[in-house]
Amino acid sequence: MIIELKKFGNVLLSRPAGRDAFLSAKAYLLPNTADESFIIDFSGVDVLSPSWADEFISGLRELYGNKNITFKNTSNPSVEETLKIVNNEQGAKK
Amino acid sequence: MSNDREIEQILNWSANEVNEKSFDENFQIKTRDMLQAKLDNYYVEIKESLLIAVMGELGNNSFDHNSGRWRDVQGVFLKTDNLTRKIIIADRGCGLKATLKRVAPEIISDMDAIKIAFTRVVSGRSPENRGNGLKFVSSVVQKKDWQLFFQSGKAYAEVGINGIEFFDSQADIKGCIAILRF
Repeated sequence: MIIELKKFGNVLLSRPAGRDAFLSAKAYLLPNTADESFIIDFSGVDVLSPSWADEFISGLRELYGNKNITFKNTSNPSVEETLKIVNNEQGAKK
Repeated sequence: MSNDREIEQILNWSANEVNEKSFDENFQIKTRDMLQAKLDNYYVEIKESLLIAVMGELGNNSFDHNSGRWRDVQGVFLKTDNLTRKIIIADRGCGLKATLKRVAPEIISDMDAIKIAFTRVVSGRSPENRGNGLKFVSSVVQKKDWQLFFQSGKAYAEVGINGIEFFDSQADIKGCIAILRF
């Protein structure tokens, strides 16, 4: 399934907002099966910060595992830099 | 960078007691929602995604670590100047040492705290997984050839294209001050 982050906003910054987006997705978007694969689509996102992304992506990874999540349309500079930080943190936690 | 008159003013604002003359409410962001709205609008104006992400990390850090324990003025002071390409974000919170010492008891000085904040993944809000904000800020500032002055307590960091340097200061800042030139 594809999760379009722009539907949560175009300037994605704070931890509480990222946490709220994850909880909303969990309640209304995400499937109940843990083997589902996801594409996170960043098209239409103008600004992404590590705080927002950590809350949202880490939440997804806890539920569905790292291997089931791929990213799409990540050319925005803040998306690129944020994913480096968030992915490094995930690597460090393993 | 530290000879700038505006920097001296903001250092004084942070270090001293607040009074009517020292406090300009035009630049006060009292809540996280106000910060989000300010940064939404500033993105429309400046169209620089990394700058907004850095401002978001710096500003939200103040709310993350000081909500419920501001010393007197709630929220952050945020001033943008597109002519001189300078941004000031400051708070009258508890500062890095008081925040990080709870999870890193080895911290003795402001210098210990600021070095750890910029170089290690550690957060005052244990057991939450946090602590990447200032590493992200530092990485972007270096990559973009911007300059960052960041002070908390009696220690400050200067970040630029050549990396991070840490210094002792005469001024004692109880909260945090960030001055970004972009």
